[in-house]
Amino acid sequence: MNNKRLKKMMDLAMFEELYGKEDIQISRYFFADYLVLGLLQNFVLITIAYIIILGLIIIYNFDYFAMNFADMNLKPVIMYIIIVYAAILAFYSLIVIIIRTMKYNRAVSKMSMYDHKLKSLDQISAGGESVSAEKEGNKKDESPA
Amino acid sequence: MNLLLEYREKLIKLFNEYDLFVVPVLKFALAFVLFYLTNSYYGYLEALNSIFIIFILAIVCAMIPLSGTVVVGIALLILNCFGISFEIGLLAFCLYILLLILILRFVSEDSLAVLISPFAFSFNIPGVIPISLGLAGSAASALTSVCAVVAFSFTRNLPEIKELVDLGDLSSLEIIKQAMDMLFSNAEMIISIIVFAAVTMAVHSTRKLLSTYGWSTAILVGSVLYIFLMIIGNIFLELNMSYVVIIFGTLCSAAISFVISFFLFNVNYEESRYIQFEDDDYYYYVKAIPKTKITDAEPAHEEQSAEV
Repeated sequence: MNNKRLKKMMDLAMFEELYGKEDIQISRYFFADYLVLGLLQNFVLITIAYIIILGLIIIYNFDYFAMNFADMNLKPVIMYIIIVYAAILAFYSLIVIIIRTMKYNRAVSKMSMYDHKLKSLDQISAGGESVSAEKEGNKKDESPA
Repeated sequence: MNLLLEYREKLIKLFNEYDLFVVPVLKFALAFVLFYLTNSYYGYLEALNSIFIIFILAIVCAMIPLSGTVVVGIALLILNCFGISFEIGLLAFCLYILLLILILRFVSEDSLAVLISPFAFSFNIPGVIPISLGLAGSAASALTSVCAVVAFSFTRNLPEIKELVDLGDLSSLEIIKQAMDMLFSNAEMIISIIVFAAVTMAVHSTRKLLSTYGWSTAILVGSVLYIFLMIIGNIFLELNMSYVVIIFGTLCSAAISFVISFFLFNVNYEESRYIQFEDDDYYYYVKAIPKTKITDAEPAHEEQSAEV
């Protein structure tokens, strides 16, 4: 057993199974796809949260709405609701873009280190194979005809 | 001090050798204590008021990640709120979902603080939450400390809400309105949010900026800032909080934070790792046991052990 090769293999295995699991999954996406996935999740979650907040506001002010709903001019109210929703969505989308961009860049740099280690493992393995092939050749030469 | 260092080294060694058993036992103990306290303080649903159920839940939590324990703990609390009334249970569910979507999904590593905060406040040691978050987390942990305050502010009012519901005079909408009034029209909560966020960021910044005595200084800075801001808030908003409780509680919080930081935060308690891989000739089953090392150790400790 080649200790150097073993250590490299262990290093790579630990990255694959433990520390780099998330980075490997992230690196499987194109950057645009990874970002769009995050933004879609964010859209769904923020919409749910906004509906809950609107529901709580309506429940809290139910008496007011019940008395004045018929006389209310709904157009500005709906416009206000949509503008606030768009603002909150834009704010959280920006946060998601920043976080996901940082995560993706970190994953890509870790994967490039992982690829570099894979290549050096290949080199160690190739060097080991050529040494063992040489030893086989020497043994054949030394064996009695 | 050297005796403490010795105990700490023994603890780390024990942990590294037997982590396969120690980690689940610790997770079980943590879950059991938290769920027991939840049922003791907020046990409004009779069906869940059983030590057997807590025991089963704690065993389940011993086998799942820590974030699962947080989810189970919050679910237990929400189910107990349904024991007061359906409306309060629904309000609790909406509140925690909002906290999760708006804040906790970005700082999920610290979410245990949200579960611990009601009990930290009940034991008058709330300062331990922002100080520990500042030591263990990042600047974003200030958001977790905000969630912790909101969670406590909601649970604190549950006994009062139960009394209102038991009177039977209020309609469903009025119950929800009263509960929301108690939560949001609460000057103490606003002050606590500001104080917690400021203390978390101050502790975190101090720990990062100082290379020598960083942990101890951070705890002291956090404690002093906490006392100062709470007293200022108490005076200006006329909250009538007891100064003795604030000061004594913060001192206890600082002491607990010192103990936690000494045993947990600046040492490497990494678990042993089990990995397997193969090549053309062999299958490899590897157990990687981390060597005992101290990360971000304060020079004072190293100097004292060198003197010995």
